[in-house]
Amino acid sequence: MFDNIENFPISELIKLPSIVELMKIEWLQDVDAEQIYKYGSSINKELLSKTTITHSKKFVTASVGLYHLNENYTTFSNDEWTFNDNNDIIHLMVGEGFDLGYHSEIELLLNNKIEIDMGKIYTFPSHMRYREVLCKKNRFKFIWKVVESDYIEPKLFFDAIKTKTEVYENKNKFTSIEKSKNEVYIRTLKPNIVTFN
Amino acid sequence: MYKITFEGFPTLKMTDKIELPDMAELLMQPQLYRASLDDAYKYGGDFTRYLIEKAPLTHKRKHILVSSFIKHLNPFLGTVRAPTWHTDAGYHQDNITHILVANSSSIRTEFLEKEITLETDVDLTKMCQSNYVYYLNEVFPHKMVGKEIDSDMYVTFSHRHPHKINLPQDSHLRFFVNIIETDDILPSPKEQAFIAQSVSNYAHNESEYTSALEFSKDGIIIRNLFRWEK
Repeated sequence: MFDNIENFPISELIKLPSIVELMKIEWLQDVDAEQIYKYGSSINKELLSKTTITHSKKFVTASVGLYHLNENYTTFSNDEWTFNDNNDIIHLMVGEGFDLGYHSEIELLLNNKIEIDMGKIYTFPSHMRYREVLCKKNRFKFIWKVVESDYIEPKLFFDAIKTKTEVYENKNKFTSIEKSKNEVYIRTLKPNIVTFN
Repeated sequence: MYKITFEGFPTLKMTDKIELPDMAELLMQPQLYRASLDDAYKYGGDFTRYLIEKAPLTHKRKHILVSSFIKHLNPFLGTVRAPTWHTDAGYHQDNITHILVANSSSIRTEFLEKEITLETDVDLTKMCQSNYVYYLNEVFPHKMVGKEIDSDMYVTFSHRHPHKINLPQDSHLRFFVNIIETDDILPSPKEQAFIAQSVSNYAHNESEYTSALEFSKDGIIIRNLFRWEK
């Protein structure tokens, strides 16, 4: 599959619904992907069904979440190229939808750097370098990631649910969006409120 | 017998599409409800000024009221109490209204596809608005054939253009601009016009409002995500 590094699988375009619908689905960190079919919302099931799992590794884990970023924040903890020698297979998508901005800001290093298209699941080996560039503007970002690995052990569905997503500014971590029962807090978006005192 | 004419798409005025930022930027903007044009321009920030400059204002009325806000809508929280045909004023109130809906909302205002003339045994033009809308929805529903407007453009209409909006089928944020040129309605004082909280109606209960979206210096809260709570 990865003999020619320029011809790795890329899925068809997937259009996501509104950010409010993306706030209602479960956000997950390293869940056993199969459990999404059993317990997951329809959006996560659809994304998993469109991910070309090779079934060549012991474990398949999925992570998904909605982030708010402003010009100082990234979803990756640093701006260096990410890679490892574990022979993992990574499937990565930056979501496309009405409320989700215009650029993925995720670069893959092939012969040259390319920025991945939004809305498509890219499949590549873990020795391939990728990174997130600073977005420099205020926007929402939805990330879907599946890792096939002999090393990364998955969590059970209800242990993998996360109630918040986190972002980084100069390696410091901040809560981006946080869920609480019937409400969602977008903590990193500070609106301009006009008051007269 | 009396005859009354209601207008539709043929006499709506529409601008070209206007470029709007995405939802994260829209959520940053001040929320206005019936601010005076002066206050909106002075205190609303660059984006509000941009919206005003793109609006096809006629300046033919005493007051111009500017509303620009986002609502959180879902199948039990609508932007109106019910999806009924209505006009925003009485038949002789000569307001000029400009509305704009951003593309990210799945529901769009509907206007009549064609002009219609109704024959009635009462003079509807002498009725207040809430009475004659009964005739539109209950007596002549078969005549009220609607068509949705497009997003990201100003649509200008008069008090003779009935319109309606359906209840939302999904959960989403709806950015909406409404600028009314009127002799009859006063703008809100600026302290009331710039709002930090947006309310959405509970769709099936006419008297209940609930806070569904709140803006504060610490962030934004989206409430009533899964169910309606007071």
